[in-house]
Amino acid sequence: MKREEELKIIERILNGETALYNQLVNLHAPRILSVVRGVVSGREDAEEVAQDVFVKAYFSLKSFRGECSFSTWLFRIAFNMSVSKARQRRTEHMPVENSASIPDTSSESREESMDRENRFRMLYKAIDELEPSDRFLILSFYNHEKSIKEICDICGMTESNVKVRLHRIKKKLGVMLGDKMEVCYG
Amino acid sequence: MDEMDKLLKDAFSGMDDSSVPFGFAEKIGKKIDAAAVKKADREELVRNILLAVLFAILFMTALFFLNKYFFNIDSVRISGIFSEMPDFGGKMKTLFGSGDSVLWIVIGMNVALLLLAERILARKLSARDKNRSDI
Repeated sequence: MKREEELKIIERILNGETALYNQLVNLHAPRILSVVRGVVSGREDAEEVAQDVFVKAYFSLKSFRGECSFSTWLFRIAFNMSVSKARQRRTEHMPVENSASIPDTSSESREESMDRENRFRMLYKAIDELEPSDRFLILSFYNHEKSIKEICDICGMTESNVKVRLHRIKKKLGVMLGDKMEVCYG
Repeated sequence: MDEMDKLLKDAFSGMDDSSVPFGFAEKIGKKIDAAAVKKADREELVRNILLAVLFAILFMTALFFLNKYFFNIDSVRISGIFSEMPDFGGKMKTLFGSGDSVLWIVIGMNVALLLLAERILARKLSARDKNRSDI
């Protein structure tokens, strides 16, 4: 859906055609669910947070001025809600690796494939040990292909801050991955 | 894009779970309806509190002017009010005993009774609506 069409739908919702909100929900639910599931542990909790994101967005629709895309605006709400929920439940966090599937490795030899599989498992563990806000940041950047500018809008940080933070997370993950490989392979 | 970037991209593609559970949009709709009712209740409560505060201020202002210009009470020296006030009983008799005063007292009591009856009826009706919606 084009941005103009989305803005028109929002305008119609604000004018009383509230049933149209379902269209926006159906359009954005997969990405919001995906990003929230990456931050909040437990499928049910993540789905609850994703629902609350859409409820909050509905009641704040008046404040959406179209300066950024509706998707980025939703991501901002999802960022605030999922990070605070994840911080609340940090002690009970279910590891990401439990729900993650290893990407297809059919073209590689068995050894290569096992090595790759191990690397992914360790990477998932390392990602799981990150701060919820850092997880959200790298998920938005690598999985949802949000630009640096969009991440600035989502997290309320400056461009240089986002770049520095992404670089630090990458470095941290590299170190964590190295440590885990060392423990695993000696 | 370095090796770590590639690895992260691949890792996240494996982690991506964007499946939408059945009835997701309907649950959002229900939550929105419930939140709208709650919001309306909250707004009504705030409106009622504001009205009560406004009436309290009006009442206090009226009392202040009554005290100042009718009873001639110095509000700074409010303690010992009854001993200092000249002919308190007489003034009260004039205030509440005259025909006009009785009329206004009756009107006031009627308004108060009507308000009380309206609140009781409203509560009963909303309780009945709630029972019907539960069924």
